[in-house]
Amino acid sequence: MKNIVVFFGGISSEHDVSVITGVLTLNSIDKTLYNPIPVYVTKNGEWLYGEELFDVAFYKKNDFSKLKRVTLLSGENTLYIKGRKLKKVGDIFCAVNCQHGLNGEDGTLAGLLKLHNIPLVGSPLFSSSLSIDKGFTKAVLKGLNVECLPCLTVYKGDFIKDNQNEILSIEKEISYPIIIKPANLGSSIGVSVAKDKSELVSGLNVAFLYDDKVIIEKYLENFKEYNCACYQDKSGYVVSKVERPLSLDKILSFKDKYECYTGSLDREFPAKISKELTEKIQQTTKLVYKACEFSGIVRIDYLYYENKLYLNEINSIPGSLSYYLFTDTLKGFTEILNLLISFSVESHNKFKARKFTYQSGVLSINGAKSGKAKTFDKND
Amino acid sequence: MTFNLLNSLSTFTEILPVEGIENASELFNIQRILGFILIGFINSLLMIAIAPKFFRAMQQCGYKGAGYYKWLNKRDNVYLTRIVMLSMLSVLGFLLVNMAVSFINHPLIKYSGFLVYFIFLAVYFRNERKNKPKVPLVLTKRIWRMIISFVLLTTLTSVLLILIVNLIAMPFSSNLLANFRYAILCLCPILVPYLVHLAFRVNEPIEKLINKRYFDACKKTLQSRTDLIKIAITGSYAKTSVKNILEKFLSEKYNVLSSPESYNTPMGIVKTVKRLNDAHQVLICEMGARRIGDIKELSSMVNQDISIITGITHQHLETFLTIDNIIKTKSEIIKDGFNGKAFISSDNKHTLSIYSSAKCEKYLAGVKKYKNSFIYAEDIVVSENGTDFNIVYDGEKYKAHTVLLGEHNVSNIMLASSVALKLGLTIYDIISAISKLEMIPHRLELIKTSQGVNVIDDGYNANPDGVKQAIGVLKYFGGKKYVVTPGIVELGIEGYKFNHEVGALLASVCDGVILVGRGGSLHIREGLLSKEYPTDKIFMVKDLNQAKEKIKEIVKEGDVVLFSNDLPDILE
Repeated sequence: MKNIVVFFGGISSEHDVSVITGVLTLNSIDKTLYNPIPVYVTKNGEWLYGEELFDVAFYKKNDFSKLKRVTLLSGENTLYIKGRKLKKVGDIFCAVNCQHGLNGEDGTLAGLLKLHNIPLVGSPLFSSSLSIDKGFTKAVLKGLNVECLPCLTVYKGDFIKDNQNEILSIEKEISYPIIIKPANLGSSIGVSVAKDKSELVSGLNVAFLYDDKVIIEKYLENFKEYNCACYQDKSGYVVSKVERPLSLDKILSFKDKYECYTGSLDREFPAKISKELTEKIQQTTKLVYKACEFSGIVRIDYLYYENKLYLNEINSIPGSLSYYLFTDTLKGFTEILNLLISFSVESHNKFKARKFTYQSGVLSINGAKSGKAKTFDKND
Repeated sequence: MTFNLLNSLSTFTEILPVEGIENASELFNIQRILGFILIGFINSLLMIAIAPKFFRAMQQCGYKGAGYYKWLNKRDNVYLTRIVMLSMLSVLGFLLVNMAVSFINHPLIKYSGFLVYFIFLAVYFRNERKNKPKVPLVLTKRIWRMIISFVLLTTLTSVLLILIVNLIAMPFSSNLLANFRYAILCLCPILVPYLVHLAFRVNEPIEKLINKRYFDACKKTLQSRTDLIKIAITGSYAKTSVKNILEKFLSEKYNVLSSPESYNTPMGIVKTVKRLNDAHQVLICEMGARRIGDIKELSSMVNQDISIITGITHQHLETFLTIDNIIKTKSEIIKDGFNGKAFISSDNKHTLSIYSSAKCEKYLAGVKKYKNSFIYAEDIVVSENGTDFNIVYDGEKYKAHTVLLGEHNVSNIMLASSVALKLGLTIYDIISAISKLEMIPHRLELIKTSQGVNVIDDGYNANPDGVKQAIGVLKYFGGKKYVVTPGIVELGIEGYKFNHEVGALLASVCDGVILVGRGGSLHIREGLLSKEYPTDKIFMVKDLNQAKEKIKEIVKEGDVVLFSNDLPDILE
């Protein structure tokens, strides 16, 4: 049976959400085809493994002493338990990334797995790094002619040095109310709205706790939010229906977004919108997914304001992997995971089959005809 | 101190008596026998220092007694000459020194001859250490087991020699012969190559048992991997080529493990399976055969889902005796409960007959078109830049290009393509993979030298059809055409006929032929002469190095040189 490792948890502020996504995914992997292996990344960044990790109740106890530390070795795709001697857990056929935010959603894990020659369900290094940074995302979207709200980037260093000047230049560009977001966080943590100067200063101070780079945009009132997800499999790109999340709060709080994860969230699905708007959202989603070379399930959030559609944010590892936008049942999620796993493995193999080397002959010591070198194994 | 030393040395004279022994009871006492064993053991340790060359030869000929003797009895085997010289000089030296010092009346003086033995051994090691072998001895577990048996056997031999000379010396208790009898130990180096072989023979039953354990474990591993697609390839030729091509194709979609190099024995499969990773999706095994039942044994180990038969010729006729036996053996890959898919080459008359009688799900693939062809090729054009051709599959034509040379490579590509198509690759995946195929070293590998000479290295080719195909490729090149070949050796009685044919073929193509060694090359010469090929265009050389020198003299820019078939480079 092929081993599928699910990575979740992590050092980011979205640790708990990631646990929920991870456990959900672990239990949805098709056990008739694959052997799911959980790797729980603690808040300190340790990788832990144990059968207990399949049960969501286990995490509430907050006692991980029974779990085993695991690791990868350079040049191998094998997961080992660390001990006096390394003990093999299994060779990894494919990994599923369920870590949101820092070190998970930003391409770090994708890069590590690539070094270990392990196929990954989830976005690759470059796309992830791009989409985690709201500033860079907007720059690329501009190139793709995808509409998004104009923004300003404020750096912590500049702000500390001369906050008066920074505030002034912000006020010159954007009128209140203003929304303040840490550039590199996936969720709503650290996000605030400022109606005046004092709120702007305190909002910036809060945001700078989470990131050294902050994005500032005009805050839209009475906007509508739409979400749409996409993934790629053998048959091509699959785009979900459009969802409209409903919330009483002005900004989606952390609680709304994740704590009730399976769609019990107050929402309108599919969103009651015109056919044209639906198509526009879906086409944009597919375009961005394809152009930025995402893989796995990616959810894109839009703002609709005064008859204009703005791309707000790209989630390369969305909560619960946004499976609920594609299917109502966990069985459906299992089928999607099967498709994603086989597609990731195939693309990975295709990548490996590329030509990497060109025989320059610079380092070849033997000439055209070297002797028949035989190799012998330890036992022969 | 000095006294102690002398005293202990005198004990030595007790162990290995110089004075004549009067009767058998004096010879066969426990203490003395133990002493003999100690001496024998020390001698065996000295012999171990000589033995590595012979262990290495044994290892490289694949632990085959016949191959080992073939190497040992080669006319110019310097290793054998050297140890014979070492022994003879030691014996002579021993006798001379012992005679020269015999007037000194001290018990220890009778051993002075051994000093000469040690000195000669030391000189021998010093010289031997200078010659580093190209392929060194690898100290595998099997070699260690052989070394242990070797030590035991050498000790035993030494003890026997000591006993024998003492018994012979008994009647002449105090004359010359008695004093010189231990010179016989100096003859041990000559026995080393034969003791190595004896050690190999003694260990053989144990090795068979150990191997069986490996085979069973391997079989179990493969049985437990129900998720793995197992592919087996057999045939007289092109196994490795088809395996390499198929590996490249399937790697476009799957995580593939294939047996490295030409590993095609049960042990080769064991070694391959050791590299098997849980993440592998496809295993490709090459299966070689020298005897009836070989493929059956391999198939029962691998239990493959897909069997491929490449082509059948007279290869290994020495051991198979008839071509029918070869066909029967290769067919074992699709017999005995095999219920997978068979992919069979359409470019060989023997495989065609296997196809028509096959009972399983079967596909015919190759260059030639038949009514049942699953896939075939058309419009093959070979040039210096590679081969262009059209693939005909499912009623459609697709253009393809490869850097590989020759029609037979297209045949291999077609066979591999048929498997890849059945395993879910698209024809476009395959065409892309075909364009990525690279030349395989020593297999019709085209090397353009900095002097503008095209060198075709076909050094690993050892099959008759392949040799003829390689010669056929020459016509696509401009310039003068030269061939370097030793002829084919391993063909039994067919060898003469084949080499003669090759000679006749070369006469029509080549502007010069360099014949290496004195094996099959003499028959090629006859073939050349039968076509009235001018003798001044035939160059006879001793070895590959001489051939290279000769080539350097005669080639010019734009010429092409084909290095054909198994050039002897094992060990020397």
